[in-house]
Amino acid sequence: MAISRRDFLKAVSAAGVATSVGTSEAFAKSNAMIIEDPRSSYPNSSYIENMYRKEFAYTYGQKEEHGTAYHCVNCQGNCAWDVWVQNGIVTRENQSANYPLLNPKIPDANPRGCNKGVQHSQIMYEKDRILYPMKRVGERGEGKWKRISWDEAITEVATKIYETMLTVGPQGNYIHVGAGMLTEARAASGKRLGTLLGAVRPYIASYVGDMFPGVSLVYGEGNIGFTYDFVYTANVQIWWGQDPNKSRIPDAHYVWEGKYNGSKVIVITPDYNATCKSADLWVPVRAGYDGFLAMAIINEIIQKKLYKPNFIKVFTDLPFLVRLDNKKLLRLSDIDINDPSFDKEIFHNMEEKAQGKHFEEHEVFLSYNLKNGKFTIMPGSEGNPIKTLRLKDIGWDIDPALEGVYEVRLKDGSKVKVTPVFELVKAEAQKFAAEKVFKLTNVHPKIVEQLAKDIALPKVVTLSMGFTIGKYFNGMLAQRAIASITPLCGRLGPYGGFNSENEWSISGLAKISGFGGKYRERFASGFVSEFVLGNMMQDFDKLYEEDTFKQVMGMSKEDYKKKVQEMLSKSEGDKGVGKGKSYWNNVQTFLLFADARFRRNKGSSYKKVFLEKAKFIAYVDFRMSDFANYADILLPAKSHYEVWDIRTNPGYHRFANLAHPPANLKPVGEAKSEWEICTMIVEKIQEIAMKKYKETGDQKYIKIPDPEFSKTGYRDLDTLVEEYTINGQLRTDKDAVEIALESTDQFKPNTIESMFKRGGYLVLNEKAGKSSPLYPDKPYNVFENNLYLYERFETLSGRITYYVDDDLWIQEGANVPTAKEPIRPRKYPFVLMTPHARWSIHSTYKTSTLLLRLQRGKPYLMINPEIAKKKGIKDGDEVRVYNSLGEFYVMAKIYPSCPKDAVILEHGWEPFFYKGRKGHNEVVASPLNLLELSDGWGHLKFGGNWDGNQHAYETSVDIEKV
Amino acid sequence: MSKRQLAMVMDLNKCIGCQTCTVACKTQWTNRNGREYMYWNNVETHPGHGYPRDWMEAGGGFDENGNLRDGIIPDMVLDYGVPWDYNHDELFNGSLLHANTDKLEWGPNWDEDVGGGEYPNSYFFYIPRICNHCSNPGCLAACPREAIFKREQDGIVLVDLERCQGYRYCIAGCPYKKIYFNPKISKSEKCIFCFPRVERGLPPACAHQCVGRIRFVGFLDDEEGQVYKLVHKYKVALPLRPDFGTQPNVYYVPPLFEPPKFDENMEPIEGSRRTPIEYLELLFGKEVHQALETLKREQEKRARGEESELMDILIAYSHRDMFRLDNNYYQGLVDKKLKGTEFFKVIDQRYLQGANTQRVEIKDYTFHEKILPQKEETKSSQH
Amino acid sequence: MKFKLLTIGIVGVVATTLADSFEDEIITVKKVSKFDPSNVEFKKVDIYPQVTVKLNDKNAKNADINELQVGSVYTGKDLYIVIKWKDDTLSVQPTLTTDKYADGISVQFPVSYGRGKTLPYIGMGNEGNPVVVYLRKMVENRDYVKSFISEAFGSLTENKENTFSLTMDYDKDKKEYTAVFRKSVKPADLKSGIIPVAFAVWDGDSLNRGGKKNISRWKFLKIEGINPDKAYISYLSWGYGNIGDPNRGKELMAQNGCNGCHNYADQNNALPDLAPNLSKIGGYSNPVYLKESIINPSAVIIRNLNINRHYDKSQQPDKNGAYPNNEMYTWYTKDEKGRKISKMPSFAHLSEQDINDIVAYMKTLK
Repeated sequence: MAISRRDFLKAVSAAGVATSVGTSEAFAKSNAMIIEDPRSSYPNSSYIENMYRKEFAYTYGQKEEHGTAYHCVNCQGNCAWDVWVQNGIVTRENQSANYPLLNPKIPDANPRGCNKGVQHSQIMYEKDRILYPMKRVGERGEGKWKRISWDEAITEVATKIYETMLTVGPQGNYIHVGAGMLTEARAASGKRLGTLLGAVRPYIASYVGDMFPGVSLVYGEGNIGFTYDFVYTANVQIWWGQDPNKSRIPDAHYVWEGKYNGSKVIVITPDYNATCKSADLWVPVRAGYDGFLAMAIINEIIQKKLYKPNFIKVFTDLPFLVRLDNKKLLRLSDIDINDPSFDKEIFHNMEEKAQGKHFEEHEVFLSYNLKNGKFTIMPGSEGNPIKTLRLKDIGWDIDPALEGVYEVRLKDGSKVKVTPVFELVKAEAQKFAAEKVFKLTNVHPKIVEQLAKDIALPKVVTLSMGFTIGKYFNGMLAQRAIASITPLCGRLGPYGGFNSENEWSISGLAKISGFGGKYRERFASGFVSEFVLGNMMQDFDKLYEEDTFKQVMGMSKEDYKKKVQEMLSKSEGDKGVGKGKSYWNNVQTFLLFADARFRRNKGSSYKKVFLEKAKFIAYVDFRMSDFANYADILLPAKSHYEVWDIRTNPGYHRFANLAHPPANLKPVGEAKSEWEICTMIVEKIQEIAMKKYKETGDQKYIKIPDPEFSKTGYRDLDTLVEEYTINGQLRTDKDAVEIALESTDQFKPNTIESMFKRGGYLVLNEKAGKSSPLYPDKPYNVFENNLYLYERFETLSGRITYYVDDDLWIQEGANVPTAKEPIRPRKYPFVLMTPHARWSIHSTYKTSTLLLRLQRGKPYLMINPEIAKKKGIKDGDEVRVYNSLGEFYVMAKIYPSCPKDAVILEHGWEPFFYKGRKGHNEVVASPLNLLELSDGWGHLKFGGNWDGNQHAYETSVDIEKV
Repeated sequence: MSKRQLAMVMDLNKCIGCQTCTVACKTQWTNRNGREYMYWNNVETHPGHGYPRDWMEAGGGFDENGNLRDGIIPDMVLDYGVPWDYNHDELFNGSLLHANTDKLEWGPNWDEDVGGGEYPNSYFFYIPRICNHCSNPGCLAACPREAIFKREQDGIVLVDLERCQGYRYCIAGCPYKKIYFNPKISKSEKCIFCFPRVERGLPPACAHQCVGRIRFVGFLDDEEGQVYKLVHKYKVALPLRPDFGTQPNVYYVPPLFEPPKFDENMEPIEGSRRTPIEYLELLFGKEVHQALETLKREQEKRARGEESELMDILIAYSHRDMFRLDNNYYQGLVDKKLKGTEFFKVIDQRYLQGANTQRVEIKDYTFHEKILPQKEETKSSQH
Repeated sequence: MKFKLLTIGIVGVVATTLADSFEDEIITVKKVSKFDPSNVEFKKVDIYPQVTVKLNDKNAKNADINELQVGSVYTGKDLYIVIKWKDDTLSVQPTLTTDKYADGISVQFPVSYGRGKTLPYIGMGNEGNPVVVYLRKMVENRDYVKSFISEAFGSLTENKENTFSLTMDYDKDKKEYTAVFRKSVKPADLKSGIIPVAFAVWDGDSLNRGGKKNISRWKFLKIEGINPDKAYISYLSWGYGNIGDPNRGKELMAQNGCNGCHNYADQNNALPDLAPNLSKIGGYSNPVYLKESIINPSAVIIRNLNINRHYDKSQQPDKNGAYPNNEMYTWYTKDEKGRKISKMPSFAHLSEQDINDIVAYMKTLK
């Protein structure tokens, strides 16, 4: 900071002009500063420099007082942040950017974060923050609230839950942790409460429509894949129905660093999205026809013999034989094992090896062994105690046929023709030959040819599929078809393959979520619960065209509805458990955490119906969401920088992050953590129940009968607190984190301190890998153990599954991978695509002033310029979007990258952004897909891996200038 | 003219347009004190109007003879966009959420992802922009008060708010319109390259927090640094609108990545470009051809499995290595009064390497360890 | 009394040709017991757009405000100056816009004046001869009044002073501003009897600010009842009235190559900014200054604006691409002692008549 003396001297001399006789100086003077050349030197830089230095020092505060955090929201990005604080007020956040460089030749994960996480500090003090417990005093939605004390609020909630247990039973309560809170430690609070009280809890993934049922069908689980650094190592990266540049912001750098490293990037989406702009190839598939494209690729791979026979013989069910008479898989239970054409020796050797373990004959399958021309059972299937997938072992050497038609003798002596699954898949795929489906898919056969080569030939190929695929009515079939492509080319583990989203195996958390098996939870199907709760069949009636539906689904709307009713009636209530997709229809008391549901529920009727059914709604959140407006009691929750929490899944990376509040953080209003809130609720329920019991001496007030779901046959209210808090060990969010760290193998060896020191994270140890080892210095990808150790998949066949011989599936022609058209009404010209936004995580952060200023300040619809011109719509105009179900109003944005047969509206806008509180879901119906509803075949049993989706994209609309 | 120049390189091929930089800058500097409407860092979609609207047509900079060109001052509503607010408090009255202005007509990211061309051959890319801390700054030249100066130690351009009288000739003079009028204090303010962070060992917020990992920061004379290598050795990093004559010290790796166009039968046209090369020439000058060729060549080399230092640099294996703040240099300059005060206490050890600084090896990844002052003393004494 | 005759004398001779007289420069300061705006006598003061140096706002215009009414009184403690002018539009600088500007007024005094003191350069003074500038601007929500010291373009430096006030009110019906400047002045500081003063006005909707303004010449406050210093008067009053032949003066300027560097009237072939633009020089310069600057240009060194407005592209840039400033556009050089020497050569060799003719012509440039 060279201060030019010369300048100062000059200034001084100027001031010191001597006053000679007769002259005067009436006017005060100081030094006029003459600057010779501010580009080379400036006399007085420190004033302004220190001003900015002070400002920075203020925002930075004291490092020792900083907190660490991530954002407990449904992007699941899970990034470690350094939370800056001054005088107990959070000033801003800065990524810790301290993840280790795992391998000097693979980019590190820093500085994980995004445009939304980086501004949480700003919205945590926003005026929509719920500061105190409040009670509704006007009509629901009227916006009249009275501030009440925590005790009053908790008493009201506890009383309602308790009364419901007495009058309706535990299943009258609905306790749900919404998508705004998806972490191991924090979300466990509400789930634990629900399990303890026997309340209904719908499955979150299905409930929000983020299921991968089509993937579960193929691989036995829906959430599979890689840590994102894996794509850096790929020769070809395919992103299908996905926009990592927008929706995987913290990981997207691996895509482009991978490209610099030599990988080819291919994006398959209807719109030219933010990821397409830098891709090597963009495949502009028509909205809703991804399944057709996938089948075309499968056909190309088979026809051009690009598949790997030796791989699919071992790791898929493609060699399994199917009876041509009834399209059923040929089972050990079908055949005459004394017929010479059956290889009894292999059966015998396997029996021996099984050491008396029982063969479930109907779950043991056969192939035709080219080695000796005999039919043989295959190891590894559900019913075969021999669990390896090895086809050559001591006792057997099988080279199963993939092609041909054979004749086999059944138990009753009759003969049937059988053929390998591969033949049927090949035949089905031929219906979807690229040139045949070109008109539907909009994808040129040359591209299909190229895609098949790009998938089959290089060393490492990743095919990642987004959530949008499942958001079409027949999206489950598309998911299945897409997931079925890469196995044909032998892609597992180090060779890449299919990715939805990886999940780590994190053991030991049962301690904070469960009760040692004493209580079972009322785990309900997500998509069914929502459908039933909102009488959504009305919307199906209103929206869909009879002829279109019939042409696509091969049945009338009436038959479809009958079928749905028939299937649903089986699985309702306690008695329905195990008979299909569980759901409980007499819920009436709702305790909801971070669940802004009215912005998400589909259809125009849901809200009204829901509010009629819900006798009482208690809502826990840190901000006033659109839904909060309809609650009866509002409970103020702490937000991400105020709580203790730990988060691992999903496995986009191998780090578990720590939320550690800043030291001396000033509380925001009277907000409490969910753990504190739940603890208060159980304490109050027990208090009320015990009081009643003492007054009456009647056991029924503390023992709520629950034969199906409690080992003791009761919900014991006199021990609620001990059970919930594990005798006082687990009362707060911090307790939960400490217990999680103690009881989870994959976190070891770590403490809050060690995580904090590192910047708020730990590195998962090798135990976290589910189906592959988690090497310390290599990116993770699934199914290496299957590939190298011949471990079976969690499917009926024990293999990657192409064939489903369930009656309904055969009836619908879905016994083999196939594709069906969308059922959206044809009379409206535009598909309404509602992808993830760059600017919000669903509805979270949608209301951020800073982020809204970087958009258009209100909902906007992206329209192709040519369409806009036809409709006389200019950029910025207000447009009405409508169909037979409803309408909503938005600002038009003219967008050249939007296809002409679709309009795009980034989702997540809450109804309160729209004229008349009518959100964009007013025009969306979400019918139940029969195949997703089907239940019980092999591994397709209701649970975390087998539930259905909401179909946000299954609608079409028209638009007009207002 | 400054002794050394701190510079930034942004790789447009890695920019995903997420605007984390924009928001990081906002929470660090511009969410208060009359700066609310300013974006010291913004990200704009190209081709497009940019921010402030049509800044490239707003004059300023120098003509080919080196004489300052006249310019204009953008309008708050039409060109910058008003920093509208919302009625969050009224959500408790059951009201709708809306902006407090009916003037939702323009904003800093209004034409996000719009770009040019027609479906299916549309195209766009992102350009993040901060103050270029030019070697021949238009703002500095235009200031009749001579209240804008370049720091001798690193060439960062600052406005002396004690002297600024809010005439705004600087805004007309800056061809990038990256200096802003603060109506609250009636003085001009601008990106300060986060010098208070840099002096304390922390990279500028926009660069440090860039999740696309597109930003390199270092001194132009640090020949070991990526900035030097990208700008001078490989010449793949180019200034924006060099024709404006201010010699920016922010450089861009031009956009190479993009998919081929389709013909009328939806068949991809091999080797076709979506973004017209003329547009890239307009932005980055004729040098863009050379830069793109070099990038392509090195990328192909790498794809063949050969070594490429250029690709290694752009991939940036270690986030830390993207920043060379040469901290001993600063610590050596600290004036006695400030030494050891909060102004010059180093708060992060991780980014200190540079021409005058030994690489600080951090073995365990501790982060919240307190930094010992005496450790600082010994290091700065090396200078 | 005395110099009144003197001026009459001058006027007598030239009345036919030029109506400029030293008399017109005088603003009489009435002695009063207390300030009462209603009985202040006003005198017309002409103002002209400052064009000596050019600023870089494409849209800024020259305001068409060309005259002020100025009156002054002295209470024995406080000196008051009241300034009125017409402005069709009231322009207040709002708090939420970027491109709106304020109407404003400033009053400028030399720091030192009286016998033996030359007048500071009208444009913010000159090195060694500083001025004090009092400024008022119409800024929303703020009482924008400031006092500065300055001794060259760009040297304006804020001056914490509280012995003055400057108010500014707009009369919407008359479309007229009235500004009142008050400053406590000790009688001792008035002994020269004459205080030079100059005025500047900014018009917000012409995008006026900084150097974009309309300014007056040095005017002279004559305090009632004090005999002004004769020597000082004769210095200040040089060159008024008919001192020569403007037409010949114009030719002489051409012959002596003034138009090689200066632009004025129809002479606009010089590179802009190479030297002060003289188009309005007669409007805001006093004759004696014009003479001085012809005979001894280095007596008053006028600094160009920020020298970084012109880079020398013909030179090698430094390692960071920084071009040296183009010396051509600095209006002075330095001698070995570091003293500033005007680049304009002295024209002392010209005859007195030549010089008078040139000044006579320059006086017409307004």
